Amino acid sequence: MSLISNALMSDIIFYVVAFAMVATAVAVVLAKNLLQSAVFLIFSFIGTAVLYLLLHAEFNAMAQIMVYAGGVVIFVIFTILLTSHLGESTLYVKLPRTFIALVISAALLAMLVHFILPAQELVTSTPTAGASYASLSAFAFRLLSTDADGLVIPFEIVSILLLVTLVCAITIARKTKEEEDK
Amino acid sequence: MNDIASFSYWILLFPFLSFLINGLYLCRKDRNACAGVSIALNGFGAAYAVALAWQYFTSGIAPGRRIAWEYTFLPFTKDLVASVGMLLDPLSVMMLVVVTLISFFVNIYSVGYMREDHSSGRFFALLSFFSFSMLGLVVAPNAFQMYFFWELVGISSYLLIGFWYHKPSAVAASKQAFILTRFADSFFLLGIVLVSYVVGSFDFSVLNSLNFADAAFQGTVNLGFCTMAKPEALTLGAVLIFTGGWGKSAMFPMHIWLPNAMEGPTPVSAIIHSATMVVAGVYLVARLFPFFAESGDTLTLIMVVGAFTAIFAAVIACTQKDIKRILAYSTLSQLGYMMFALGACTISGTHAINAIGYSASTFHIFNHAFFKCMLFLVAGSLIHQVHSNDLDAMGGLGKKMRWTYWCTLFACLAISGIPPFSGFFSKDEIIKTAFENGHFVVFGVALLTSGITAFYMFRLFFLAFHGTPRSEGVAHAKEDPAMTFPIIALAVPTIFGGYLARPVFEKYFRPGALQVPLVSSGAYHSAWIPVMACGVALIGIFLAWFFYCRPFANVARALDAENRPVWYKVIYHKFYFDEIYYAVTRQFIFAGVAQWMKNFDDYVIGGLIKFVTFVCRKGGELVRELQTGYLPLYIGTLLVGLLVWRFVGHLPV
Amino acid sequence: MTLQHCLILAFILFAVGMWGVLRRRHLVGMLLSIEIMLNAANINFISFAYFKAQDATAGAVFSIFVIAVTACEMAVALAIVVTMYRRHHSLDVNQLRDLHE
Repeated sequence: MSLISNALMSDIIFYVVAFAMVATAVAVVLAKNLLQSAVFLIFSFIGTAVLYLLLHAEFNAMAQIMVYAGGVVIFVIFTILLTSHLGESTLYVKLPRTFIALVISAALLAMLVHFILPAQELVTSTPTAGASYASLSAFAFRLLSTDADGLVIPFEIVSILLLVTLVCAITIARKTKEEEDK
Repeated sequence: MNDIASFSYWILLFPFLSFLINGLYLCRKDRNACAGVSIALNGFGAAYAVALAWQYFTSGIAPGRRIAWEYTFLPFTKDLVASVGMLLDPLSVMMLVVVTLISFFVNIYSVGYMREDHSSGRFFALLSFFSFSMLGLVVAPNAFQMYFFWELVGISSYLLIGFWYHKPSAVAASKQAFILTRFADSFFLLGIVLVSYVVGSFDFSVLNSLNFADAAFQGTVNLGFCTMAKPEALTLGAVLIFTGGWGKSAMFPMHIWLPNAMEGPTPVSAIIHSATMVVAGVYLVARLFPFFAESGDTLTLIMVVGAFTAIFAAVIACTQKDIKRILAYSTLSQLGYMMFALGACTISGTHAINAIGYSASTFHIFNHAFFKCMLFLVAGSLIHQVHSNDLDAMGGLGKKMRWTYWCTLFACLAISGIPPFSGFFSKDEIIKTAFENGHFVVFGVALLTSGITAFYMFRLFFLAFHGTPRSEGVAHAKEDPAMTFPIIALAVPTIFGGYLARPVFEKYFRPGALQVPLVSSGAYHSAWIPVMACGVALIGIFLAWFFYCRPFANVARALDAENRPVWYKVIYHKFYFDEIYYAVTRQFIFAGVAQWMKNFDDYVIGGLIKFVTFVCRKGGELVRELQTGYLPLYIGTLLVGLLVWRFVGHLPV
Repeated sequence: MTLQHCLILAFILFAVGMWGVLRRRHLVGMLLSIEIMLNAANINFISFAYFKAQDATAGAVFSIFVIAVTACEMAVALAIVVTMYRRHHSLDVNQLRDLHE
């Protein structure tokens, strides 16, 4: 540990994690089986959580794992299992389509990167956030504060949104009378 | 005065109401009720106008100018405002009386004339509309309103001339009248635009008080295609405005529509020729007289045009056999008189004005309206009895229709200028104007025309009422009370109008404040002119008697149009003006301009439109093809668009 | 590890997600790719909050909001997927072209 400094360590971890995330993301895209895709997505999300930890956003990392890796993706897996008969071959994608999509995406990436490359500020800037900027208590105080910079109203709105979504999802997905009769 | 004047817009509203009631409601229901409403409302209007005139001329306001009411109609800019209003001055009050009275009598007459016509409800409605338009024109306090009603007069004359639209000739005549007057009206509009652009006002009082020597008119004005000095631009505007009156009053060479307009019902001819429509041109010149007087040699142009038309039409009238056409050419000739009387006000070689011609001309409008209307009513009455327009089919009617006979005699004497009938007073004034102001050529023309007028009027008179009957219809001819009453009523102003109204006209009818020098009398005086004019007229009457009514006169020979020398045929065919017009319109306008325009429209404009629709349709098909419903394609297109935009649109990226 | 690197990582993930959206024919596969894209956006939020923000907590909170909204979106989207599967017995976007007709 003494050979390598703390900063170097975190750099190494960052690159490793970044590589893993990109690799798993590519795997998500390219996997033939959707179940495989979903599993790769879990790994990608876990990598993201690690990245959050590197950025000292503990609460976000936690939420990432709980909501995404633990919630959403599992939900997706359930849906996949629900909707596809096992053994049904996955929808075949032709190579030209993959290639064209790759070219377009690459062009987008090139454009975006080209956009930020000249900004020296992005390279030289050092972290400004305090160590506990994303701790649980910081979140709680902000979310429930009624001060001028408090976020209680968005918080409430999000809660209502979740409720509405819940009702909405059930309404959409439930069987109608005729379908039940069939 | 105040009460009567301030509600004087009712004079306009009565005919308009009649038009609305008859046109919208009654015309399909009850023809007799239509006639009743029309006569009653026009009678109210006439009574009101007479009362107004009585008050106006007796209460001392007379030469004064008064706006009875005014309403801002179209404020183009802060300074240039087009308003509608009601102007009362001697000229407009006189015209109000003339128009309403004539319209009233013509309405009564139409009851008899249109008795057998099943669409007479429409006729009464349109007749009221016609007089409404003319009244609106007469009381206009500015050029804009005048133009507005000017066009209404045009459209209502179109509707009335083409009243019997099942007759192709009537349709052609109404179209001809409309197109020809529209052609002239477009110049009128141009003139109004030009003058109001330079002056900044439509108002007659402003236009009439212009002094081109003012500092305000010293610069130049840019007319878009050229730049000209302001006084020149105003003179051009004056000529353009006069062109409107030129066409409306059917002056040579835009005269051909008026005789052809005889295709309409005779009451329409009566009202067109006496009170409405054709006198609008003369009225316009009288209304803007100070402006024309200021505008260089415009008055000289008016004089030449008027004088030429006077003798030109009179010569043609001598050979015609259609009784209405004779009267039509007579109207042209008389309008020429009025026009050149106005034009001849300017003293030869100078710009000074001798206003005698102005009062003579307006006086002649007044007198002519009554006797010409009466003559047309007589003509209609004869046609109605004999069922023919042709003098060939008449003769000897005097014994059958005594009242009509005597009234016609009075009217013929009046138009010939024999004292004491009304025409004498105004006509001799006109001839005197030409002489006093030194226009000797015009004077000679006028004198000659006076003789010719007497000749052709008494030719008509003798051929129609004397001699032996030349057709079956004459035997059944009889007086029709509904038609004879207006004739007799109009005989009253024909006999007494001249003598009674003369003081009024001489006292009050002055062209208003003139910017040019005004002289009280012309350069030459002569007391012998009335005597000479009468003498010439008597010679004309004698010649007519000699040719057509002397014992053992060969009337058949006199009426023969075939075995005639060339000059007679040329005159008989109206100098082939109709043919020239047709040739020009067909060969040049239809075959040349219109055909090219049509081809241009068909191939260039139409092709362009077809091309545009083709592009739209193809584009639509293309876009429809793009809407494949493939989600990835949409997203991909979006991204490609973004990328292309970034490089083509030079985003700061 | 600089802000630039974080952003480039986020861009790469975004582009990969876009690639997936464009490439996949299966509706659920497209949704998974969209998740990647949203994740990339979240990384951006956190990165900026950590490196640049005046009020870092607010940035972090915003990413929480994004996660919440994403969860909502996924719930509704998957409900739709289930309904569509029931109706069409297919989740091939090439065949789900109701909007086109």
